[in-house]
Amino acid sequence: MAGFSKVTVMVVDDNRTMRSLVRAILNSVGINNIIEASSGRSALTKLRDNECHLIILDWAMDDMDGIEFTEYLRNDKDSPDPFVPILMLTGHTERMKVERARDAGIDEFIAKPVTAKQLLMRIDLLVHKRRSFVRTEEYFGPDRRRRRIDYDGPDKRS
Amino acid sequence: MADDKKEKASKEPLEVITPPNKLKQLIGNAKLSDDKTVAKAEAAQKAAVAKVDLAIEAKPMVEMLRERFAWLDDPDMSEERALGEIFGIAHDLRGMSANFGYPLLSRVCASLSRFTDGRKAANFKEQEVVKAHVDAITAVVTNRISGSGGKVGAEIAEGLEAAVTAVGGNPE
Repeated sequence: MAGFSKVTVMVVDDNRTMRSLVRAILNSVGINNIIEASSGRSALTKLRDNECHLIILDWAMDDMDGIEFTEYLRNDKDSPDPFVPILMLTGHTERMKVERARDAGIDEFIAKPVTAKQLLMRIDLLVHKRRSFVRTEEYFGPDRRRRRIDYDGPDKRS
Repeated sequence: MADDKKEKASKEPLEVITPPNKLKQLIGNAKLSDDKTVAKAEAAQKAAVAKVDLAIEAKPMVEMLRERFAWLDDPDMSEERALGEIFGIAHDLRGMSANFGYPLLSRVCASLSRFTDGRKAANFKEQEVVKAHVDAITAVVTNRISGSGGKVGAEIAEGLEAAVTAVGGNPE
């Protein structure tokens, strides 16, 4: 299917079962180059040795969580790829936490439980409507002004 | 304070960068979210879910949850650490169980993660609330109560959520 076979995606989640679910969805559309990592630290190591075109990232992980990982990638002088698209897939659905993720520099956000449709729609957004990056004194990452991050979660804690 | 921040943000020098879109270069104009592709992906998701026995996957997490709960009674263990780990396990289970056909489990875990998120200590009543959740999670996984659990499931979840509200939800 098109150029999907050339795309490499890194799936970072400490839960093996969730990684296998995401892998199954990606495989079904012809994305077969998938690198898995179970923590932010492990993902960083793998990212130094492999070019990835998209990172699908969990939030809550030991040994560098998804927010720390994103902030490192976007801002650290040793970052292997400050511009790589990051799609956060997490059980954190509270608006405050979504905004925290946005402020760290993620591109898109999906609340668990994930559906195939949501995942593919978000990837489409990153392919066809990716936001520009902005750099200010306090922030570097996808432009937070142009479009609000689509929010799937409830307005209050559930 | 918020206004100050907004004002400061609006005055900040702004550099706009359009990085090369490598995904677009590789994929071109093809779309993933058309009906046919989504249907194929949904079938793959369904097949992947069918392969997983959540009760088996969740069992070690439930054992760990019970162990971390026991830490609350152990004077050598940090209460804050125990509650942090209980939150982490409940949070993980919540996300996973919703995807693998256990919405009741997901709901109970959501209630427990809401109760423990950011909590540094738990008095007797608060520990009782945690215990009620841990016991319910154990029962759901041990008895493989997939789905919503029917009327009884709803009553259990509502009871736990009411306890969280009565004792005090997230301390933040």
